[in-house]
Amino acid sequence: MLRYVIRRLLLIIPTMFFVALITFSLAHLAPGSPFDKNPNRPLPEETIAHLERYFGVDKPIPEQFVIYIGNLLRGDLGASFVQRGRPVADIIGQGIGITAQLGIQALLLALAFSIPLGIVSALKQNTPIDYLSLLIATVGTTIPGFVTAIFLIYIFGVGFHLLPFVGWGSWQHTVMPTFVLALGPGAFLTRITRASMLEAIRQDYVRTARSKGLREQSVIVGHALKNALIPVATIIGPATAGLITGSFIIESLFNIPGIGRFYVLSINQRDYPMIMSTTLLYAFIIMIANLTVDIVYGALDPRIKVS
Amino acid sequence: MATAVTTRQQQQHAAELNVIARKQRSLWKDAWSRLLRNKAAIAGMVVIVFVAVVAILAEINIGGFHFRLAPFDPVTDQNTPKQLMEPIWTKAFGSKFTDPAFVLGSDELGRDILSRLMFGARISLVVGFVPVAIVFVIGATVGMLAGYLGGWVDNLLMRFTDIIYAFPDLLFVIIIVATLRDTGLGQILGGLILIFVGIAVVSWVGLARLMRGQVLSLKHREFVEAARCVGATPIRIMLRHLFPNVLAPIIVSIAFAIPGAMLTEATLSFLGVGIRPPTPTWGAMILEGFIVFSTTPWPVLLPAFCISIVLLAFTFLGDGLRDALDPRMKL
Amino acid sequence: MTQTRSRIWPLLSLLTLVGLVVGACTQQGGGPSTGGGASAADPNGELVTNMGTEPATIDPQVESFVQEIGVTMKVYEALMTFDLKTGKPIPAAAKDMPKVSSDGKSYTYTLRDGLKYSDGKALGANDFKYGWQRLCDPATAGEYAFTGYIVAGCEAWNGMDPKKDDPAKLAAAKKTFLDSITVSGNDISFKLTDPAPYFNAIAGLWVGVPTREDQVTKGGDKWTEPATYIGNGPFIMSEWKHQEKIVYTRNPNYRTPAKLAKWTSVMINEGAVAFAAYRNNELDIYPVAAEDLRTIDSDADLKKQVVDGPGSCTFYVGFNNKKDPFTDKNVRVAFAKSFDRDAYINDVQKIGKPATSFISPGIPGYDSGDTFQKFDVAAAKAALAQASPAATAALASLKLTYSSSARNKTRLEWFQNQWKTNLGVNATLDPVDSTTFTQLVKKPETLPVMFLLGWCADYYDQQDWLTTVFSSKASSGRVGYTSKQFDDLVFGADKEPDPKKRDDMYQQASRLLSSDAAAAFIYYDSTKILQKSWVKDYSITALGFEGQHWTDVYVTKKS
Repeated sequence: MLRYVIRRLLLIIPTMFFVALITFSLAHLAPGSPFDKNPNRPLPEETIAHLERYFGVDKPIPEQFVIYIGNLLRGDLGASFVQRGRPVADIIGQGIGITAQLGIQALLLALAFSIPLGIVSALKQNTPIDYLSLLIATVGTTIPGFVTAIFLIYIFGVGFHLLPFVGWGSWQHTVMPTFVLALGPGAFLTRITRASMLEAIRQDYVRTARSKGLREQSVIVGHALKNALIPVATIIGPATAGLITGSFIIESLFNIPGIGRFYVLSINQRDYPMIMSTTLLYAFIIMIANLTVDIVYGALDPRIKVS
Repeated sequence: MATAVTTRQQQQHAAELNVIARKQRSLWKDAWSRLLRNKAAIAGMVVIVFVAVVAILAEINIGGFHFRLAPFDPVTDQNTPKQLMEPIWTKAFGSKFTDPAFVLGSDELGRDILSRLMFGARISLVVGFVPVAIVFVIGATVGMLAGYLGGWVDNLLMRFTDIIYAFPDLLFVIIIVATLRDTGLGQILGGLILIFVGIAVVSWVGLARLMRGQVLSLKHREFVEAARCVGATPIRIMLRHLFPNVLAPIIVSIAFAIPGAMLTEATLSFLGVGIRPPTPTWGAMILEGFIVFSTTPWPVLLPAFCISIVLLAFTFLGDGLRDALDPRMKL
Repeated sequence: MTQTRSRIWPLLSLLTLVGLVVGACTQQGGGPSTGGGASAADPNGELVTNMGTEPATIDPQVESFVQEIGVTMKVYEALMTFDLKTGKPIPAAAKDMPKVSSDGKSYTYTLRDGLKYSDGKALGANDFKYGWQRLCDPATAGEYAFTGYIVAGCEAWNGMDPKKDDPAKLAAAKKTFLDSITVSGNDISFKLTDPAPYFNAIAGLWVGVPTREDQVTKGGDKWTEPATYIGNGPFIMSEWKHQEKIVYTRNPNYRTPAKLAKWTSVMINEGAVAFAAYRNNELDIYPVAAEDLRTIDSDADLKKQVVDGPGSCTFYVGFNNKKDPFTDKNVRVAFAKSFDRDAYINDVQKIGKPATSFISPGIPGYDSGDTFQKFDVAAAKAALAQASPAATAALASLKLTYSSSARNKTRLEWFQNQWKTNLGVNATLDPVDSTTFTQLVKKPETLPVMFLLGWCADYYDQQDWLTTVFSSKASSGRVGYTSKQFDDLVFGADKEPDPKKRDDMYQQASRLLSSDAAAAFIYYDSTKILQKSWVKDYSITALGFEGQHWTDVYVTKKS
C-alpha cells in the first residue's frame, strides 16, 4: 500500500506538467491579452509594448513556458498581470484559507444532510419523505446558486435582518454562502446515496445478514451502507476540489475575499500567471482527492485492491 | 424463508444456462416491458414527450404550412411599454403589473414569457441531450475499461482523467467560441452545439470515475466470476453482467447532468462567454431574469421551474429504467 | 456579475460610485434636505460606499479606471482640480492659476505654502516633478502615459525600450524630458511641445500627483499598500483588505480637513446585493439600475432618497467606415436615423438621455442644436434607397459585435428589431467575451463591421472627445473615419488660444461628425443614486474626482 501511495504521489509530477503545458498553451491561444481591458479605451500600442516588456510576454511562447516552469520549480509563481505587481503567491495565500474554510464547511454540511436523507429515502422508498428529498434535490439542482443566494439575501438579510451578507469575519457571515455552496453537491449526493443504498439493500449479503437475524440497524450500517458509500466516495473527491475552487459566483455575490473567484476572473482577464497557478492548484487538489478516494475504496470494500 | 430467496449466484447461473438452453428473451425486451409497468417512469416519459411536442409545435413552417402554438413570436414581438408583466394569477395577490395577453408575464422588452419558454424548450432539450450523450459514451467506456482491466490501463486512463479534470474548460470554450464563430460549425444553434460538444469532450471525467468505482467493487463478485467460468468474453462480461449492475448511480448522474447542461448556458453567459441563440433558451432566460430580479422574480422562476420539471421527469424515468434493467427484478 | 474588471468604464462608473463626486451643478432631485439642527456634521462620521470591484492598481502613474482613480484622488492632490459648478480647472496644490508664456508653450505653477504629506513630511515642487517623471518613464509602463506627451520630451522617452535600448540614449532622452520641467523654489514649469489650452486640465488629472520617491523605493512592487501609499490629499488610506474593502481616515495634515472621519469603500460586485445592502443600511449610497426603478417607485421612503446627477459618457453604435456597407455614407445615415432614441431611453435604458451628437451634456462643446441624427424613418429609408449596390449587398450579412452580457443582449435585441422594422435589415448579433471584444476593436484590421462602444470624459474639454476619438490620430474608439476637413478643424482648435474661435471650430467638427454619421450616437448616460438621509453634500459630477468632493461630504448623526 505504501509503495502504491508513493508511486501515485510521484505520478503527480508528470501529470501536473501536462496540465501546465495544456493550460499555458490554451491561455496564450485565447484571443486578447491581459492588456485588453477596456474596449472603449484600448491602450495605445506603445503602452502595450511597454507592458509586454514589463511582464516578459514579448518573448516567444515556448521560451516563456520554459521560463515559467523554471520559476515554478524555484517556487516562484510570478506576479499577477492584472493586479499589477501583486505576487500570485500573496493573492492565493491571502484568500486560500477563506475559500478552504468555506469549501470544507459546505462539504460537511452537504454530507450531513445528504447521506442521512439519502439513506432514509432509500429505506422509505416511495413514501412522502422520499418525495420530499427528491423535491429538495431538484430545487437544489435546477435553481442556480446565484439565484438562491439572492433569495436568501432578501429573506434573511433584508427581510428578517438575521444574517449579514456582505464581507467575511464572523461565523454568521459564513451561514448563507455555506448553505448555497452546499446545496448543489448536497442535492446530487442525496440522490446518489439513495440510489446506491437501494441497490445495496437488495443485495444477497444484506438479505443474508437479515436472515441471520441481525438487528436492522446493524444490517444497514454494517453491511449495506458500507457498500453504498463507494459511489458516494467517488463523488466526494472531485466535489471537494470543486467546492474549494467553484465558489466563484458565491464569493462574488457575498463579497468574500477568497480565491474562488480567480478561477474565472483570471481567465476572463487573461491573467496568465494567475490562470496557471489556479489551474495547477486545482489539479493538485483533484489528484490528491482522487488518490484518497482510491485508498478509501479499499477500506470500504476489502475486495477492491488497488495496485 | 431462506428458500424464498434466490441468490444472485443462482440467478446468474440460471441466466447463463438460459443462454445455452434456449433462444434468450432479450434483456432489453424484458426491461422494456418492466418499464412500461412502472407508473412513475411512464409519467416521466409523458412529460418529456409533452415538452418535446410543445417544442416542435411552438412553430412549424414547412412549405406553405404555417402553424404556431406559441401566442407570440419570442424575439420580434416586442411591446416595451408592457415590459416585466407578472403572471396573471399574481393579480389575485395584488400585483398591479399583469396583462391578460401575457399569461406568464413578459420580459424586459415586453415579450411573452410563455412563448419564449415554448421556443426555449427546443434548444434547451438539444443542449440537455447532446452533451450528456457524449459524456455518457466517453465516460462509461473509459470508466468500464479502467475498472475492469485494471493495472497499467487503469493507471494510464486515470492519469489522463486527472489531466482532463483540471482542464481549463472556460478557457477552452472562450477559444472555440471566438475562433469558430464565423464558421458553419459555430453557427449551428447560435454556436451552442459547438460549445456543448466542447464542454462534453472535457466533462466525462466524473462519470468515468463513478463507473470505475462501481466496476471495481463488482468485478470480484461471484456473478462475474461465474460468467468468467462459463467462458464469457471480457466484452460480454462488461456489457451484459457489469453494465446493468453499475447503472444505479450512473442514471442519477445522467438525470442530473441534463439540467446541469441546460444551466451551464446560464452560467457561461453569466461569465461573459458569447452565446447567441436565434431563439431564447431556458438557461439564457434564467440569466436575463436574474438581472431584473429586484423588480420581479418570475422571469427567473418560470424557466427554473421548466428545468425542474424536466429533471423530475428524467429522475422518474431513470429510476424506472434502473429497476427495469435490474436483472434481479422478476417479471 | 461576475463583474470582471474588464468591464467598460461607463459601466464601472455606473456601478461604482466611489469615483463620482460633488456638485453644485447636479440637479438635486428629490434629494434630502440639508436644513435643521439634525444636519450638523458628525465629527466622527463614517460614510460607506461601494466601489464594486477590487482596483487592479492604485498607482497614480499606472492606473486608468474610474474606481482606481477614485482611490488615488482621495489620497493625493494634483496641481489643479476642477470647479464643481463650471468644470473649469482651478488651483488645488497650486496657489494660483499658472503663468503662461506668450507663445502658450510654457506653464508655471506656484505651490501653496506649507504643503505636507499625511505623515508630516514637507511637500515641494520636486515631488511633483517626480510624479511626472514616473508618468513618462517607460519603465513605469503606465496606461495613461500618453496624457503626458504634450510635455516636451515625454513621448520620445516613453517610446523607448528600457531594457533593450542603448542606456546612453535612454539617459539622454530622460535628461531632455527632465530639462523641460524646471523647478525653482515653490515653482514648477512645464515646457510643452505645442500650445495646449487644455494643459490646466491635464494638470488636474491623477497622472501627475506627487508620488513619494522614498516610499516607492521602499515599497517596491507593493508600494501601493497602506504603509507606503502616502499622499497629500484629504484622506489617508489606512486599510486595504484585498477583495473586500478599503478604509480611509481623515488626513489631519491636509489644508482643508475633510468633514468625514472615516470613509469605507466596500467591493460588492453584484448590483442586486448592493441594493440589498443599501436597504439594510450597510451602504449609504447606491447607484440605481434601470431594473430597480419599479421597486423604488412603489416605495415612498426609497423614492425620497433618489438623487439625480449628470453622467460623463456617450454611447454609440460604431460603423466600420472602411468596410461595406458602411463605406457608403448613405447607409450610415440611414442607420443613424433609424431607431427611436426616445423610446429606447423610456422603455429600455431608463436612466440617461437620447443622444444625437457626440459630446455629452456637462462637457464644453455639448451641442443640443445638432439634431441631424434624430429619429426619422422616412429619411432613413430614403438614404438607404440611395446606397450603392455593393453596400446594399453587404447588408445581407450584417453583424453587430458586442461585449457579451445578458444586459447587452436584451438591449441589442431591441436595436435588431428597430432595424428590421424601420429599415427592413436583418442584423445578426455577435457577442464575444469582453477581452476578445477589446482586442477586436483596438486594431483597424480586425475592427468589426458594426459594434457598440462608449466614451467617457477624462476632463472638461472638447479635445478629449473629438481629437482623441475621431481624428486620424485617435488613440482609441476608432471607426475608420477619415475626413481631412474634420482633422483640420480639430487639430486647429487644439492649438487655438482664442476660446471663442476654438469652441466654434470644435462645434463645426462635431456637426460634421454627426452629418457624416461616422457613428450613430445612442444616449448620454446619467447618474441616479439612492442616498441615505444622513448623507449631506455628496455631489455628483461628470468626472467624479474633483478634490472638493472628498472634503465637502459629511454625515449627520444617524439617530
